[in-house]
Amino acid sequence: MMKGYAGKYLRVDLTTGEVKTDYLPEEVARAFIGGYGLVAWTLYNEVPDGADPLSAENVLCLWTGPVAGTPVPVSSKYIMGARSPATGFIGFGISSGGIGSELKAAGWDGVVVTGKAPSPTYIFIQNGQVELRDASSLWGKTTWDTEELIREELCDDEIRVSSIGPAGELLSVLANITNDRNRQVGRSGMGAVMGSKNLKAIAIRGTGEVGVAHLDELVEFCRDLYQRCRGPATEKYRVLGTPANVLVHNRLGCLPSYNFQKGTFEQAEAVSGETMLKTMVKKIVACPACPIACDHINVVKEGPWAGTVSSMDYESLELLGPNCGVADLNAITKAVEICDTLGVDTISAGATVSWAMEAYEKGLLSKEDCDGLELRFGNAEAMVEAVRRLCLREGNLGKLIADGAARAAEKLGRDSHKFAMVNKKLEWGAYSLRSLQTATLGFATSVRGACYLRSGSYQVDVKGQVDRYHLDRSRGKVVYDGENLYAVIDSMIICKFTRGIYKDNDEIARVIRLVTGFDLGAEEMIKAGERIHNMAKLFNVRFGVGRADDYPPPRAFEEKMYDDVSDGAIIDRGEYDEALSGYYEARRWNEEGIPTVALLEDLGLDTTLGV
Amino acid sequence: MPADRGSKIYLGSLMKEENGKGKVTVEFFGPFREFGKNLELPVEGELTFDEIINRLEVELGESFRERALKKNTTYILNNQVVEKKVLSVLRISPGDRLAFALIIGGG
Repeated sequence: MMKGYAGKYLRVDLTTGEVKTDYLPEEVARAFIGGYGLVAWTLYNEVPDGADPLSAENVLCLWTGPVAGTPVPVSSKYIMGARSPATGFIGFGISSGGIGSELKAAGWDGVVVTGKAPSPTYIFIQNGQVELRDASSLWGKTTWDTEELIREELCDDEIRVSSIGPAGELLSVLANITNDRNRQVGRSGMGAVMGSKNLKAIAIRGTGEVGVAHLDELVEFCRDLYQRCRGPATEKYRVLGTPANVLVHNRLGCLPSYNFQKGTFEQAEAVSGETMLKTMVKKIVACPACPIACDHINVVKEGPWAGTVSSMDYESLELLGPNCGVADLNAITKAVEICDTLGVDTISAGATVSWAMEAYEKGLLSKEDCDGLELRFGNAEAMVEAVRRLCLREGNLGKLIADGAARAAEKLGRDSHKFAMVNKKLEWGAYSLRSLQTATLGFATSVRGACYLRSGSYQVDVKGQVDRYHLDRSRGKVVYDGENLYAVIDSMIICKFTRGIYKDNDEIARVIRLVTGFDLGAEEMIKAGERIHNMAKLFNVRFGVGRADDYPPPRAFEEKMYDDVSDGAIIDRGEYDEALSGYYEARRWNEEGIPTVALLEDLGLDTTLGV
Repeated sequence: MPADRGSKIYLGSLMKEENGKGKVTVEFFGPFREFGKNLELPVEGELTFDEIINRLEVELGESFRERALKKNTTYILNNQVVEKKVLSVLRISPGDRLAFALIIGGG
């Protein structure tokens, strides 16, 4: 029996109600590790050609990694994946909280969901027992209410719940999946996939244990890792949480504001992590098995949104704040609460509302189009109301923007796509494109669309290790290296905030070795990361991805930034072309970005793994 | 428009304030806020990074030196994160802006 893995996963056919056990082959676990790797493996092998993402044909999977439920710090994570209704390519999101370890304790590595339930349903997994239960009374409820109601119904406060809100039910391609109130499978519309399957929630209760290969040595090593988690490498997350980025990025001219037109925000201090800690943060909480505690919970104390409570991270704060020209932390906290409870990704919501604000200011949207809202940059009340309408597909504005900036621009026309800040139709994260150009290459080549989490390529820019205002061919290798390592981290699955506690890749490989017993060194581990990334890419190739999909939005090439720090910055198209070719070269893909046969053979993806 | 964008090292006069005569602006982010939000350090001519730290220690107390020289401190000179070893060979002069922070990068 494999160690670290339960060795089996559930197959749930919602159309027929059939539930089956399937076994995870050891060679697949070795090749793809877990998490992201198993999402890529599942989707590549099981989603039919041409499957509509919002049809019964799409396959939705939930996977854990081998470290979930073990003593490894910050390891209770899980991933959900499907063909994305937002991008049409591979979709997935990783969430923290307790779902990962709970599912492993219940005796399962994952759940693969197919078909469509005839009526609202939720899946309840309690150790070896699995039930499909009626969710009619939960349909229309917020994610927070759904969690509580399921625990009440099943009379067990320890049950972990992943659920969608009304936005997922309404099939917004920005819809996410929430667990533990404040944790989300955020990006690429996985909530809409659940909604399309009439699947309101997955509830899990597990009371078993996860066996590891070398327990004593693992416990000893983890003791050291826990100490490191409390040390200087993670101090930055403990003090202010990720909103610490606001003032630093503002100083560096890479804090997007006014729909990415600028890289600084004149009221950055008002929405900084420093101000937030002093005026808003009620408590700081941690995920299970996490000694860091990065999650800062804000409470609005006064004004029209008094009593609002929400978890605040940099991305949410930035895109709903400075990127909308909004300097009101109360309003931003309210907008995040709306997104979290109604079930929409805050990054996409912020970037979509800021697109609408720019369209309004350019005269492309009228007040009537916006249901009477003065949707100008900086109007905090209008931002909050626009977010609510987006989540509920309400009114003219809600109908226009519920499926994100790219689709809204398609409907509006009049060149408004030029300022829809997307790649592969997914909204850009909170990093300025033209003053962080390695980051831009990493975002635009990401398999799931504009994504800061696939390679961490912003790091060399922010840390001043490269000329961030220019690109060259060598940046491709930077993105390639980051992607391979992050593919491993996302497959184990460990929190990226702990990457600094590992001295080198050997230590990460050691964790996998101690948990699974696999004879795996750093080099082989990174090769697994490369294999995983290529499997995800191959899924996209099946659905028609090409070189043209790996470019940032037009604004990056056509408009210069204007601000105090990065004034005049723009991406040179020739430099970008060269850097993109450098990336394909590092990846051993052809000039269209398609993996070569020789590469697939080298990675063992040719015949042994069914490609 | 910042100068020297194409150069290998992107320091020097980047974003230096033209009207910053006679002072270096020091900013504090994150845990450094215990020392205030910012301060103007009167400076004549050029100073090394060590000399700046000495001056700040006088202004802010011994605990500042200890905090500022911790391994995880990030230094931002004007609009550029600069490693300590690079900073130690640079000269800081009036118009420069030096920030102390803990950098996160991602979020």
